[in-house]
Amino acid sequence: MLPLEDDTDYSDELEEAWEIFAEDGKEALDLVEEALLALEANASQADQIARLFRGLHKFKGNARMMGLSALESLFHHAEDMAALVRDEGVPLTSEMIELLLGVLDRSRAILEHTVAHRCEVECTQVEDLIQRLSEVLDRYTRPPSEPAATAPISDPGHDPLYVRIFLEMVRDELECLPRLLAAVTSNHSTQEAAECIQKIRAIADALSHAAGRLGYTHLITVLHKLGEVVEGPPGEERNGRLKEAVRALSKELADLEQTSHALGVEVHVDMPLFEDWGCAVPRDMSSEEHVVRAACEKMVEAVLARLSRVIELLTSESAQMSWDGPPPMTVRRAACKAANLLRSVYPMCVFHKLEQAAYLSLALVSLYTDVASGKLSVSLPLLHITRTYADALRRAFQGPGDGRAPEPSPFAGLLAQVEEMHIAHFLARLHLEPPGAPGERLNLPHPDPAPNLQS
Amino acid sequence: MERKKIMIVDDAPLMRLVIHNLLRGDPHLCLVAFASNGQEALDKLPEAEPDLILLDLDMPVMDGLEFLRHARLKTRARVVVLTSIAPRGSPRALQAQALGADAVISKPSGAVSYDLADKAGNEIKQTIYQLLGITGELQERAAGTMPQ
Repeated sequence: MLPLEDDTDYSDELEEAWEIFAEDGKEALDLVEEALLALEANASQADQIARLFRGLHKFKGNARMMGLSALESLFHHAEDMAALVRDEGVPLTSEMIELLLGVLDRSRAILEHTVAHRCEVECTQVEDLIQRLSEVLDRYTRPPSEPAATAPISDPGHDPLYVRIFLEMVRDELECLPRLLAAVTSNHSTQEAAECIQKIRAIADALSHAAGRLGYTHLITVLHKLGEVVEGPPGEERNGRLKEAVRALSKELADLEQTSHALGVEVHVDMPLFEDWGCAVPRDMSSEEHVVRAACEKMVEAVLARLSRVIELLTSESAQMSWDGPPPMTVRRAACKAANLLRSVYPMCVFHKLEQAAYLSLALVSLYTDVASGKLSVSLPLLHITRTYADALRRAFQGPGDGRAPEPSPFAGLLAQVEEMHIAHFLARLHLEPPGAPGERLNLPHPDPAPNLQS
Repeated sequence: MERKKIMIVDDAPLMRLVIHNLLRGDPHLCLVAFASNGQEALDKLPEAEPDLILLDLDMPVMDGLEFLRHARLKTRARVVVLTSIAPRGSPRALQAQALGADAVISKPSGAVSYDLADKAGNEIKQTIYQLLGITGELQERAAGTMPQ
């Protein structure tokens, strides 16, 4: 339980109450005076009217608390007049300002007297002011009507004010979720993981409560699922289900964000860190983008399966030919296929914002095109790099999903190797040989004896 | 039984003093946090985790009605509006209830004096007990029908 920090000595409560009344009352009257002076200069300032009302209201509340009925009544009338201006659109006249300044002057004197003598003044001392305030109020107050019952908000889920509050809450709560998820999936048995699980559960509960108040039933289901899954037994199965739950949450939130735009609510739920965790969920993802993303993943899988078969063929062919000999037609046709497959990977890499992978695909296309046109021999380093690239690409599209922390991008290293290969190719065409064999320069397996890259 | 946690949101120090005195010594209620406006209250909610919030309506920075919208989503605490500008049945009181306030009570008059404090505090305490499910003997005690 939170201890309340309160160093006040309440042994003499009444005395303290009088002190607070004197101090707070003076502050309230100062606030009224400042607002009135500002309004005298420019009577259309809404914020000054709000300050005027607040000062009057505060003084009235304090007088009421102290049981000072004459002051309470005076300020009740003054507050009602300020409310006419604030809420009913009645113009603030010089008569009203003058009257309120009169109330102010009288109140300062009464406050001093009351605090000094610890007693209430006679009602007669404020009767004239109350009378004048009542006259002004009567002039402007409309005939009383039955207060219209304010019905409970029937659909807060479509009320822009609530939607804004909810989205801001989601944005704040989700800020730390990717970090927590990464900790949970990478540390199965540590105390830190247990704490992170509790925090994720708390986030899911808090958002679920708010979603319940707004009637977002799908979102509640998704959040309950997240809360359940994260508490499951650690392991690949749990992490896979966790990944699915986070994806579903992202989709629901993306849909909600879209809906909120129609209500004029512009709160962006920033979820870029989901990518870091490995869920490969981009920000601003609409339901259409989810469909495109899923199709991309399947397509990449199919392309990479075909590329693997082509690389196997090229490896087998290259093992049977002399290392520097001209490529036979089977090799050139296979290289052409490899180039086409690698070219088809490029737009999917761009869509997934895998810039280095996209650039690598084009660099490899260039090399395989040269092989296909007979300008370049297929080499072990080229096949090795292609295989490594395909593996890295597969992992990038799938995300870790097995409890491991996200890997650092392997594409930068591969890019350097491909550039080295391009330079070597360029020098070879100029009949200049760079020092060291290609495999040595690229720190790849030695080609002799005949390699078995299929293993 | 663990004491129920109460938070008070009011910009008037006098009101905070009155509520402090009212709840002090209550075996089932504990005042855990003060806030002088709605925003400050929102900031303190996660740590204070109150069971019930006593809320003023007219405050600077964030007023009580705006706080109610947030509170509806961000806390499970019951909210009792305690105000002198919104007597029960007034449009402002109805608006507060539409926004999720569990009850609207007038601020106690003359509550700082010893003789009036108990009487003025009874309605507040009774409402708190009722909303938090504190029943039987305690409720009777709050209503003043049973000797303390």
